[in-house]
Amino acid sequence: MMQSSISDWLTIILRRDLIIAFRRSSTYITPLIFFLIVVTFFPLALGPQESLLSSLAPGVIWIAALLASLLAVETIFSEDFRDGTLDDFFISLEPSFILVFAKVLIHWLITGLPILIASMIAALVLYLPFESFIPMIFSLLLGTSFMSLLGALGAALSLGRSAILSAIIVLPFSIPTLLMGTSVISSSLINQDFSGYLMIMGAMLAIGIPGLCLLTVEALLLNYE
Amino acid sequence: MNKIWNFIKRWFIEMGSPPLFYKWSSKILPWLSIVSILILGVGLYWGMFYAPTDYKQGDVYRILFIHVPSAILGQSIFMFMAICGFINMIWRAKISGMMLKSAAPIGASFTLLALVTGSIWGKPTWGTWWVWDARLTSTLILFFIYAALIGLHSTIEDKTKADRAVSILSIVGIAIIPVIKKSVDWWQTLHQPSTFTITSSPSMSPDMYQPLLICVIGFYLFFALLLTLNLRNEVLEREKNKNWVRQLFGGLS
Amino acid sequence: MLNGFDEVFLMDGNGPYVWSCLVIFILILVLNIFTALKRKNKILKSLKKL
Repeated sequence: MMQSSISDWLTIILRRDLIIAFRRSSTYITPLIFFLIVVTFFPLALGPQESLLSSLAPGVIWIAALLASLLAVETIFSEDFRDGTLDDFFISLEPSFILVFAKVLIHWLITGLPILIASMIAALVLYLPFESFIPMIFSLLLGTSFMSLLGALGAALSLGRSAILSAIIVLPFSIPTLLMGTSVISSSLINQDFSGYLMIMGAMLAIGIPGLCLLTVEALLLNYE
Repeated sequence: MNKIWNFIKRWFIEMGSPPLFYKWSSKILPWLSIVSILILGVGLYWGMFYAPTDYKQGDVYRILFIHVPSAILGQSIFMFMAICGFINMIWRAKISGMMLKSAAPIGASFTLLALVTGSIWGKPTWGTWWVWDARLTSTLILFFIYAALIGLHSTIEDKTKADRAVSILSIVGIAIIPVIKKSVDWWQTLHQPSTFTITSSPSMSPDMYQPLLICVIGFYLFFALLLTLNLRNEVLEREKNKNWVRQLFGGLS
Repeated sequence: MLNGFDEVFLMDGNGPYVWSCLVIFILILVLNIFTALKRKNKILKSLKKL
């Protein structure tokens, strides 16, 4: 048998999961549509005044992004758990870290990335000034990836149980991301320096990738005892 | 020195075994309950009747003697839970998982107490029941985290699995709570100038500090009492098919 | 006597706030102990049945 390297494994899992995700368009369309619907509800509920909406825009975009990325969270592991792919992987003696990392990456690609693109439409609709677009994109880039990591942990802990449970687990822990993310956009609105918030978000991501992935492995192994 | 160290080590190992813990705890339980209620009573009585009136806030500040200890407890119980979770993850000590589970509702109720008393204190001093102050907000988030831990534990049927799931989550919690605190601070400075400070004057007079200290000690002892009660229940319930429980309660063996 | 009670209860006018805190505190503690004892009785009863 040939010795396969870690990057080979990563590409194999990524390719397989991407093919599965693209065969079923609902996986990447649903979070996107959900995000846009939540964003449009705010002007409908609060009234169409431009000044009000542009001041609320950072919060609205971030709440919608958080909820949309949580929406797809249970699909991360449940399918593979049910059909036994996960069992095969744990038997294969490859580092399970790779599996979890690949799963998180896939989740980000099918929810985070579409949200990132849709956020520009949302920002236009909510009258966010153009100068804030770049900070918004960067904050969402870092924030949604951290949300995918947290979501994977929540999904692993609530595997085979109600979906609302994973939301309850994940939401309190996502508060720093929410606060920093909105702070980035609102500081750019009042021409303040926002790089500090982005750095903290980046640091959280840097610690979260090894830390949360390892804990997610632990949580997954709970189902195989 | 070596002797003491060995004694401590043995004590820890013995406490890790459910039957030894059960026997030992039934010995200290009456003492613990008497001492904790006594100290709590003395502290609260002192605070309510003998501590001098604050020159700025008047008598309302007496809520401090309940509010501050419960806020301290809410945070340190979480710390305790994370340590238990750590031990449970690494050594798989059964009793640490049970401790984690028994401490969670106590921590949640102390955090809730801190929130409610803080809100009642806020009404006469600030004029509103709730202010989006940094400390209030992070305490509220702490309460949500407790709720998440309890919710997770109650949905998993297998108790030892549930313990380990909650340990994982409590470790994430202890890593993220400082970040939450810091980010809430920044969020507050960005959105509103800090108008209120929760604790009264930083330099507290010893007349107020002494009863507060006694109250804090009393709260800690009371936590130990509640934890022991809950833990004994947990031990009995999980080990009810073991021989030692049956021998203790005279059932079939 | 009534005067003394007023002084203790109302303090400087904000007394009810303080006492309601104390009542809630005691309520939560009693609730905690009560649930623990109730659970213990339940477990003991189920042990007797075995």
